[in-house]
Amino acid sequence: MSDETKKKIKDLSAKVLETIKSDNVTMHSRYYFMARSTLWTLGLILAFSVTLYIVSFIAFVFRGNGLLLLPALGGHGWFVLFMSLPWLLLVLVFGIFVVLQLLSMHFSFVYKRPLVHTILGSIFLLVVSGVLLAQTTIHERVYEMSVGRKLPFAGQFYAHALLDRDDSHVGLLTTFDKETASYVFERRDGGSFTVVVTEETRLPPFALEFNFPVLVLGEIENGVINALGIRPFAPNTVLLRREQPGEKRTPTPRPYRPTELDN
Amino acid sequence: MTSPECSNNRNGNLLARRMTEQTDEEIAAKVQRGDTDIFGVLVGRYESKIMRYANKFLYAYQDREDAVQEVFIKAYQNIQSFRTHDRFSPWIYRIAHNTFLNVVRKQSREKVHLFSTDQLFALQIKDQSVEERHEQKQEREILDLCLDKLDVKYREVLVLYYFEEKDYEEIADILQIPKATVGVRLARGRKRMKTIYQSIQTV
Repeated sequence: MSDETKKKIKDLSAKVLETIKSDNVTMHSRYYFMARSTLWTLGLILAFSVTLYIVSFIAFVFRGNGLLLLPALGGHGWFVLFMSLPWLLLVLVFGIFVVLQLLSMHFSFVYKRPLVHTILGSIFLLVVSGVLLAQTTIHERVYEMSVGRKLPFAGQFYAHALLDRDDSHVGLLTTFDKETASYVFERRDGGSFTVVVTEETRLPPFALEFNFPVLVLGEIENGVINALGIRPFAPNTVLLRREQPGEKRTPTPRPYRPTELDN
Repeated sequence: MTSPECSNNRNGNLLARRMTEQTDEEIAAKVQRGDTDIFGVLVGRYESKIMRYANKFLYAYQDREDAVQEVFIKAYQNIQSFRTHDRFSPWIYRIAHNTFLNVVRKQSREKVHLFSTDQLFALQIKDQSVEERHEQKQEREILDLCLDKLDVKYREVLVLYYFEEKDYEEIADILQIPKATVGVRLARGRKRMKTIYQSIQTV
């Protein structure tokens, strides 16, 4: 080390200590770092919880609208599935997920691993716990509250969750007319339609049961749906009743079940 | 009989000797308990290292001395965040790294990315072989010639490895990236360094 460098370093050392002692520099307290660390952790927990809730809500939308039944109905089914995906929610989840990753990179157990492990691990954890959360009745209850206008927030968020497109409908098949080879179909918003089954209609490999929730694919023309496909929901599915546009909301709406129609 | 002046000198020497026997972490713990003067010992131990790091990392920048001064002031301000059961060296190098990156960002002459794709798919790395260690001296000389032409993300890893002689683990701690990413960046950085060196030679 040259004499000039040594002198520079000596000057620097003196300068640093002088600045520190001149009271212009104060040491942050331990509590400052504890508070910062706590806020960071809370931010991470909050971001994770929000992402988890939205993921479980997406799973609820998938379940409630029978979106996973669509691929079995061929090309048109895939098209309807693509068009019915909750894109806004997916974009929202992606945004919060990025924030979650950025927050988590502050922690050594995250930044010491390849990012792909963290990303895949978080996706796995979120999807599994989101699907499990969607199996509970939490979203159904919040949906009911939203329809009954008892929800102080996110009312529209839930009210728009169960959407029927013009070519995809959820409801119950109530009777079958052998002569016209058609079903009477009660859509979940209360509308009644005739579902015509042809040779091209993709039907399940077992007999359809009446008053059992089904997904019908096909456009409506003058109250008649020419079914491209029909698929029943999983057993014990609670069919959430969808309100009609402009319908007067009832104070305590409940999901309607097949047994209620029988009565 | 000894004079009070002589006794003071002896006490001072004893204190200095005791300080040199203490580890960085022990000294840092004392600073945390409020002994500000002893922080000077840490400054003394690290100033030449941090200065050397600044001279290499901020090779083409003017404000290197100010940046180094800022490093120690930040270290003092944040000393309570240092966990004394960890090593002090990566901690202060981390502060230096962040401070130097801020200098680079402020002057906007080079691009500094928040995230890099090599953090995504870094694979397991093997330890350095004896042959590779022999090559180190030659590579350090080449690196010295190409410093200002290397991207920030490769320069930081190469400087820490060749000039600061940090191992993969320490570099990973300083840069807060996976150890495997350090290996990937070192390999790519070396490759680029050699390409740059060849182009310099041909000119």
